[in-house]
Formats: sequence, C-alpha cells, structure tokens
Amino acid sequence: MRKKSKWMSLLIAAAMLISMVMAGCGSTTTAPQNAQGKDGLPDLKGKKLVVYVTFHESEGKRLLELFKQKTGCDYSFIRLPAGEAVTRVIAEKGAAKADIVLGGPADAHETLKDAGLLEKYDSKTAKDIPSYYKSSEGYWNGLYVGPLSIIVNKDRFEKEFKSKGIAVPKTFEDLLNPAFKGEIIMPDPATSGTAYTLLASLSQTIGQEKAIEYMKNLRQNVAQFTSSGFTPAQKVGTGEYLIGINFIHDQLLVKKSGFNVESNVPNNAGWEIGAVSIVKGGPNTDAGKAFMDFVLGKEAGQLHSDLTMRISTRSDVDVPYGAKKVEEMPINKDYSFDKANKEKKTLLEKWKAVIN
Amino acid sequence: MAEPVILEKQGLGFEFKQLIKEPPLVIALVVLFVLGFIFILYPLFKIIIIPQSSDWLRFFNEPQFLRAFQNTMFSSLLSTTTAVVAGFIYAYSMNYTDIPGKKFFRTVVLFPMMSPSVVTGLAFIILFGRRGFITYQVLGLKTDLYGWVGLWIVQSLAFFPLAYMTISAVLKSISPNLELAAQNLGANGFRLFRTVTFKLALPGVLSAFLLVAINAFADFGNPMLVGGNYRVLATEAYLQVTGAWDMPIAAVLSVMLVIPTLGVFLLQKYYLDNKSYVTVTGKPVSGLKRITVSPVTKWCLFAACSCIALLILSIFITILCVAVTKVFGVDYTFTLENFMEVFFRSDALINSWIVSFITAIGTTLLGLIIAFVVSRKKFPGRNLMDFGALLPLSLPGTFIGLALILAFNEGPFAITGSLAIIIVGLVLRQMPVGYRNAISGFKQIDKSIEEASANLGANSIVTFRRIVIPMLKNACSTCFVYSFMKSMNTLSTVIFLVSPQWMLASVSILNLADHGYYGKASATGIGMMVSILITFAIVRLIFKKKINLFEL
Repeated sequence: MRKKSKWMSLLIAAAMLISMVMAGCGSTTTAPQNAQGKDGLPDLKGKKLVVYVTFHESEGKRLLELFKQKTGCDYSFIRLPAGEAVTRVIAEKGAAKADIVLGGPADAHETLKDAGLLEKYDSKTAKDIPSYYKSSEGYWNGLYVGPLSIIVNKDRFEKEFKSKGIAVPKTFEDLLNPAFKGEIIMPDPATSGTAYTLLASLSQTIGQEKAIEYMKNLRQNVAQFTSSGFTPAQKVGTGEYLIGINFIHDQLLVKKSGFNVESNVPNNAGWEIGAVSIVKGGPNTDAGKAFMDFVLGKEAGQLHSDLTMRISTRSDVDVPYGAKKVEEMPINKDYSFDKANKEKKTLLEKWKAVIN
Repeated sequence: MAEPVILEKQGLGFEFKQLIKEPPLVIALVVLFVLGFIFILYPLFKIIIIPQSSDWLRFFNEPQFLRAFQNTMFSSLLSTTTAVVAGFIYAYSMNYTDIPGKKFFRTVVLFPMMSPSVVTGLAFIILFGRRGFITYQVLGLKTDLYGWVGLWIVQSLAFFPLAYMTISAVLKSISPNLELAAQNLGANGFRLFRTVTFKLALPGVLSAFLLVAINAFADFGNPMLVGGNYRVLATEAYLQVTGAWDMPIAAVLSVMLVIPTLGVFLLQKYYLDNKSYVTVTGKPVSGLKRITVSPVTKWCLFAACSCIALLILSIFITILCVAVTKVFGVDYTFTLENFMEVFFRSDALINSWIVSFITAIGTTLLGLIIAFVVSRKKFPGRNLMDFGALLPLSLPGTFIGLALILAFNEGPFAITGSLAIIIVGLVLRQMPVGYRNAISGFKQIDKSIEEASANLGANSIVTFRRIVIPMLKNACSTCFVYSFMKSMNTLSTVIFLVSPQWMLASVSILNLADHGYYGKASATGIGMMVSILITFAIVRLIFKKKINLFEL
C-alpha cells in the first residue's frame, strides 16, 4: 500500500505539471481588441508576429504593444545580442522562426542579406528616412543613429583629477594621457561591434597604420576590454572606472538613471546605424511588412527614442535629452560602413597582433 | 521458477545470452542507445563537421586561443581544489560534529546554487570590486578583482555547494560501525580520520573533484562577469559566436575543452575502479551514533563553516538590497517595483519553473536507470554507455545549445523553438551529475542485495523499483535538488535554445544586467530562489519527508 500511495502522488504531480503547462500555453494566445487597422495599417487580428529584438526587452515590448493596439496583431519576441540574432537566423535557414530582426548594427543586417536570408520590402514609410540610413536595395532600414562618445564619471574626476590640472577628456588624443592609466574601460574590437566602429572609424580618418598605432598606445591606459558594448558606460556610472568609450545612447541611459556622468562625442567619431529587417520565409511575412511600415513611422520612432535615448533616423522625432541632432555632432560624416566591413578582417588581425 | 544465476561466467556470448533472458532490459538498452545516438552523437557530428583543417590550425597559431586554454586549466584546477577542500570541511562538520546551527549552515550552502552566477557575480563586484562596499568604502583598499583572482574566489564559492553535496552524500553512507570498530581497536582523533573515514570517503571526494573540475572547465557565467580580460575557453567560444560570428573556431575551442575533461574522466575511472569501498551491506546500522570530534576541532570547524556561511550571506544580503532599491549607487529609495515587474509582468519565471521541473524528473530517472544498467548489468557497449552518459557535462553549454539548433532545425526532428529542445538540452547537461551521483550510490551498496532479489525471482524492473530506488533515496534526492536548481539558473545551455514563446528567467537576468537594470536582475534572482524553495516545499509534502532535501 505504501508503494502504491507513492506512485499515486507521482501521478498527481505529473497531472499538476501538465495542467500548468496547458495554463501557460493558454494564457498567451488571447488578447482584447480595442482598435483595428489604425493609421493606414492593415487589420491583422488573429495573426502573430515573431520578433528578435536586440535592444532591451521592456523597450521591445512597448513598441510591439503599440503595434498590437493599432493592428490587433499578436506578437511574441525574444531579446538577443545582435551577433546571436545573426547566428540564430543563419542556423534557422530554411525553417525561419522569426519575421523581424529589430535593432542591431547595419552590418549585421548586411551579413543576413548576403546570406540571402532577408526579404526585400519597399516600405511606404521608409521614404521619410534619408537614403544614407537604409539599404540601397530595400533589405533593411535604419531606425536610429548612434555616434561613439567618451563618458567620464564626474564625481571621481572632480575629486581625483581636477586638482592635478587635468581637463575632462573630450578627444581621442586626450585619452592617451598617462594619468588615466588603468582607468579606461572599453569594449573589445574583436567581439564588440561598438569597439570595431572605433577602430574602423579611426582607420578611415587617420589611416590603418596610425589607427593601430593609436590603439597600441590607448591600450596602455585601458584596464578592461569588455565583451559587451554596453558595459563600459555602466561601470563608469558606478565609479569602478573613470572613463569609458561606447555609443552615446548607452551613456545617456546611465545618466538618465541618475549617475553623475558627462558624455562628449570626440571629433571625427565613428557611428552606427541600428536597423530593422524582415526575415525571408518567416511564419508571417505580411505582418512583418506591416510592422516595418509601423516601426519606421513617427510615433514608433518617438516612443523608441524616449525609451532608449537613441537618436532617430527621422528628422521629425525629438532628440533625447542630453543629445544633439546628428548633424550638430562632430562625427565623421564620411564614415563608410561598406569600407568598415571590407577592412574588418585585416584590421582585426592587426589588432589581435597588438594585444598578443 | 527462478533460475540460478551463475555470475562467474564471462565473455560477449554469455553477456548476450543473459540479455535475452530479460526483455525489459533489452528494451531499456535499445531505447537508451537510440536516445544517445539521436541526442548526443548526431548533434556532435553536426557540429564537428563545421570546422575545416585551417580552423584547427588557427587554434595553435593564434596565441589568444592557446592562452584561453592555459587560463581554463589554471583557474579551473585552482578553484576546484579550493571548492573541494572547503566542501569537505563543511560536509565533515555537518556529519561528524554537533556544532550549533547545523540547520542554518545546511540552508546557507544551498544559496549559491539557487541563484544564477550573473547575480552573485554582480553582488561580488558591488561588495569587493574596484569600488566595492567592503574593499573600498569600508577598508579603503584599491583592489581590482577582475581577472584570475576574482574568478578563483567566485568559482570556488559557486562550486563549493556541489562539492559539499557530493561529499556529504558519501560521508553519510559510511557505516558508523566501521569507525566504532576502529575506535575500539585504538584509533582516535586524526588517526581515525586519516585511516578510516578519509579512506572510505576518498572515492566520493574524487568524484566531487571530477564533477567540480568539469563544471569549472565549462563554466561560463562567472568568467563572463568577473573574468575581465582573463578569458577562458567557454567564454572565448561564446564570444566567437556572438561577437565575431565565427562558428568554426567556436566549435574548435569547444572540442579543445573536451580534452581536459576527458583527461579528468579517464584519470578518475582508472583510479576509482581499482578501489572499491563497499560499506552498506544490508545489515542494520540503526542505533549507532557517529563518533564526534574533540571540542577544539569542533570549534575550529565551526569557525571555518561560519566564515564560509558569512561570505555567502553577505552576497545574498547585497542582492536583496539591490533588488529593493531604485538605482543602487545613486538612488537608495526603497521600492517593490522590481518585484512587481518580475513576478506579475513576466512569464520568464513560470516558464523556468515548468522547464526545470520536467528536467529534474527526467534527469533523476534517466541518471538512475543508466547508472543501474551500467553498474549492475553486463551487456555489450556498457563502457560506451558509461562514457556517453558523462560526456555531455564536459561540453560547454553554448556548444550543446548550438549543436542542438544545428541538428534539430530541419528534418524529422524539427524541434527548435519548442519546449522540447530546451528540455533535451538541459537533461543532456544535467544527466551526468545525476548519473555520477547514482553510480556513487551504487558503489556504496553491496551488489549481493540485488543478487538476492534476483535469486528470489525478481526481474530487472522489480529489482530496480523495490530494491534500488529505496536504497538510493539519498542519491535520488541529491539529483533532483541539483538538477532542478541547476536547470533553474543555468545560462549557457539555454541561451541559444530559448524562443520567443519560451523565454527563461536565467537568460532574462543576463539581459537585464547587460542593460544595467541591476535592480530587476537581482529581483529576478530572488524570484528564482523563492520558486526553488516553494518547489522543494511542495515535493517535501508530496513525498512526506521521504526525500530529505535539506539534509544532504
């Protein structure tokens, strides 16, 4: 009898489990319909969009929620680093699981395009976006622009460095000051698109040899090369390091959460385009196309900028607090993504020779 | 009805003949081998055919990869040794002394296993990092723990519970009457410990060392967070995939990671197989109390355990503080917003719970079944099965994840994006632990008990259910606890397997920490620990305390 009761309890546990699984599946499918087909978007009630998002979950969710309000389209999404999203879409070749890759640098989308994994789409809202912020063949469109920037922890700077007569570093040259030895944090060009943008943009302004020479000198001051592009700003915020290099929106987000930091875009800074593209053969390509129309629009652009502190590719979206219009920043306007992509292998090999 | 079994006969032909007599065993074996082929061999094959010869050469020509290899060896062996020594001291104190607060110590030891390494790493940096609360603000020290030193401490702490659990299970099954006999013969104090207790515990200690070493080799979360510029093979492989989109070299690095684990595995097998310490003989040992240590030793051990417990506690208090403040570092306003978000506005926790529960059941049963057939039955391919059951643990989680995606994206087993693939990945990754535990348990039980059952007419299934499972209660509960906790907070295995429909808490934590939402990340960590505790309580109720989860 004792044995029997044991098996019974196992059975009960299994039944509980199954019911929980069922409940879990059931709860995600239904959604109230408030409005359909708003703003010229189609009515997509009953359809489901699957999205790979490279920026933060809560930010992606807000955008998708707005899309749902307008079209009635259900959604599910997952947040992935850009490189992982690329790896996934490539691995899922022939059996695409996602409709949209939302965010991530333009070259990631180029890689997918070259692998024949993207759906060409001439979105009606894409015409509001300047041609240099989108794929010339209509495979991807730029959502935001982000220049590289130097972040400094103001509390620490005023306490430890101001008295020495050192000014807040604002240019790439300033970073070579030996006083900053062991106080700089930046991503690793070999693993982070952010840091590669730095290397490639230096190469395009001062030439390959000098760029590598500069990195060699900068390395003397760098205490940590991080794998993720976001980390430096956060660790400068908490004061673990004095100076960080990454994209300005990551730094503005740290400032927004209350840390006393200052961001300066150096002269001839490189920049990135964060793009969105439709995956070829995804489960619901029509919904994907509607989402493309939606996300490139003004309302979505403004929401995205407000949430992420990113500078929109649309000129009619307000610039986030603390940033400027791209045209007003001292960025390298001639920075070529194509060249950066072509140089990648040689530049990274030279960079690896420096660190080894 | 029962035929007398003569076990002295050997040879392949005899093994086959024995097999035919037991159809359930034959079916079980066929199923196990087919599963092994589909879920281990096939994905391995898929991922091994990706790198070309030039990729293999790159490993030796590019210094960063060789350095990652050296770093892996150095840091893993260092932290494994520390973890096993600390684990043994802790386990010995729990089983051989009457120090006060044992219940507290036993609970605290589970903390590092219940929370994902991302959160503990975060708290560690907040406490002891460059601007650490203790190191910088209280002591005024200028420390920098990013690198091997930080990794050493964090990994030792992370793997200490695993070492403790394994060693404790072994110490518990050592029969006290052997020690009593030794004492009656005049052995006391350290001599008793050295000549009897330690010798009996040695296979378990080595098993713990093997388990911890393999975990340390493939560890991903800790080097990711506190390694800084110090890269190991597992992180390098992951970064090659996510940063450089370089699958071939990631596969090469992963294969290189298998080499040390294989070495450890063979060493352990060679050593352990020559030593058999059977202490449970089926004779009653109840009523005998273990001999306790002298007061001086007792309080020394108490001090050691307190230090370890204090370090663990400080880390978890930090996590709690971060979870209830608005922005830790600038705005210390109390808030419950982080918890609201995690518990009520996200599916990740519930998903993790479902996934971990199924995995834990699967792992326990599978580990037990494989251990049973491998250690008690003779059949062709036994060594192969033993090897196959241990192999997945030596593969980095990211490697398993990618191999599964590559193998099961198309064709007859297209299960990517589903719940099934996450379960497969996790069971694959946890099974070796369950298997090791069960084997360790079988080694301690004399085979004659099961032989007696067979002689009385019971077949394999009946013997398994009525003799083996009850006798391996400890091993089973260890396995369930371990695999549930691990599945709950494993990051590397699931990072490629989660799908929009099946997002898990451990991955969500990394995203949150990545974007600087430390409060929500910590709250998720606490949410995971709470759901683990609730589950244990439920299981305890169902089994009416038959599985002693907290008395490991």
